[in-house]
Amino acid sequence: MFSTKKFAVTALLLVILLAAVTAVSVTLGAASISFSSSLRILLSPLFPSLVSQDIPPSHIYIILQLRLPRVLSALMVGAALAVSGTVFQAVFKNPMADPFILGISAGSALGVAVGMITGFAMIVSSRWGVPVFAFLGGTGATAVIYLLGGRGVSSTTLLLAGIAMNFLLSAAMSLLLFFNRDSLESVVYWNMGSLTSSSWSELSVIIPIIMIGTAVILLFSRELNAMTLGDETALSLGISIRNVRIIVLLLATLVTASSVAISGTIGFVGLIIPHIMRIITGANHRTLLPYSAVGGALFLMLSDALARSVVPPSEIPVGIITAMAGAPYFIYLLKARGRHIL
Amino acid sequence: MSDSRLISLEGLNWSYGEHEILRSITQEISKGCFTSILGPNGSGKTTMLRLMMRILDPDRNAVRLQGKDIHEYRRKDLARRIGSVPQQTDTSYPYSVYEMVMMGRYPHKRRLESLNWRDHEVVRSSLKTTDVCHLRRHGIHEISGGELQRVVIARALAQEPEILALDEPTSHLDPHHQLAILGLLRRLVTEQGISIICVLHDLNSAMRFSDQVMLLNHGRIVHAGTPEAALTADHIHEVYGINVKIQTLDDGTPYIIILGS
Repeated sequence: MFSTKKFAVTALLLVILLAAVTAVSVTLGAASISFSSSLRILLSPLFPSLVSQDIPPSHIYIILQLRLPRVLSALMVGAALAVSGTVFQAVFKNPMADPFILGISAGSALGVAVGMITGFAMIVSSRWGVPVFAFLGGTGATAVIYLLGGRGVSSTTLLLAGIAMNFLLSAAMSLLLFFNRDSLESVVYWNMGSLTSSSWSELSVIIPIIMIGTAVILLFSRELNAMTLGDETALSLGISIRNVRIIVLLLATLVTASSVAISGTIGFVGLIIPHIMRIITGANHRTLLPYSAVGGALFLMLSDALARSVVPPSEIPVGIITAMAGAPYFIYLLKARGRHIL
Repeated sequence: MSDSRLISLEGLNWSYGEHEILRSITQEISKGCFTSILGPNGSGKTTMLRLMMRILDPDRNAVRLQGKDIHEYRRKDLARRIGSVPQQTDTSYPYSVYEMVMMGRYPHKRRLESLNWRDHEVVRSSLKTTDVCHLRRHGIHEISGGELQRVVIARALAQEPEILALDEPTSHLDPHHQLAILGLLRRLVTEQGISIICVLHDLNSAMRFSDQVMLLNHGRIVHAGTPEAALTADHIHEVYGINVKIQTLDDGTPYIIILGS
């Protein structure tokens, strides 16, 4: 039970926290740029007088063109994955549903690979083409999972369907790459789950999609609440569950696909963040969704900061960090299933 | 059209594939009554209740609500008229009792409309009616089965319905809580004029609390009427295959004693 005032205060604190983590993350990296000059460069688009002669132009380039887009994509991707994880968990009434485990991310990745190899994704421009193919692939995977799990099958069935889906899609991906060996490196590297190649031109497409998608999902919080209580309850509360399910699943797929388009497949964010947030804020999607967005953003920004700083000057793909945190959590959930796990 | 007609079933059929569940049921359910649906397991009670709320889709004109085909109502309109207490409530999501009951206000809200003082007022009075005010901050996963049942009834009341449809609301409860829930339902009929349609298993509960009884067997209504007229020893033997004796208690209520099969 959150009062509006308390909610506003907490939201403000979280936004400040997000800004702080963004600022700190931007100072991390191979080139040593001090915190104060990073901060000055970061604020320079708003206050040009902050950047004086003592800051070399290369530093400005590194902060504004390399690190900031990267940190922002960690923020957006983390938020996107956690929001879509929350939606998948509500629609399938299953705490272990997540875009990565269900194979939605893999579907988007396969879509992108097909788009890249056939060249269709580059026809208009790659910044639009890649997300479009990611969405097509993700929708295919979501459709299969929906047909299998839409009627509220057991957790086990849904998870097995996800495993089967992941196997199938990874086989398809391998086959595709086998026949197109020249694309192997670029596709594999992109798919590893990494934020290194983020640029402003990609972000200019992805950020609006993720923000609008999330905002529209938020408009369905009441429906999501009712649907977690069971189909019969949702229907008797006046909700057309079939339509709502299809709409929110498509939105969650869109948001997932957008994140896959910039970062490849990053696992487990959508699994653990909604789960932790439910413990903190309760189950009401009105608060759960925004909290998950912020939680996912913080989690991925911190994971990315870690990925950049454990073995300098090289870095490890952020997907490895999230998997190392997420997989044990997943096992814990599996073990706890007999008890109350939400 | 007479005012007392609430729900009319006109040749209502339902089957799952080859399996016929309900066969051409024609029945009037009157307004302001406590109507119980009784019958052996698998006789079609729950299916009938679900068809009356359009949780299952009946044929055109087979279910009429206040004279109009139930398909003519939008689902939200329906939810403002019929509150439902299903057999099972999934409590794996940790909503608070208050949040849960507030969900009963959803049918009254447009998408962008926020909750106002009246919604909170209705929720508070529903919590009071079902006597669960003290639990409002608890999680729905933390309370007992009897308390949860009251909370679900409170949610249905928050819909401000004319009809309350309940599917075996007392089946998992101890005798004390059974009695409390049925007494509450009875009060809703007499004090608030809500019509109740309730699937029950216990013959004596139906006898004591309902105004009208529908006795189902193999997908047909075999007997309907006042409890005394519908639940005779012969009818019970015919439907359940058990021998019973009906005695009248001191307060005048008939009491069914099961003798054997």
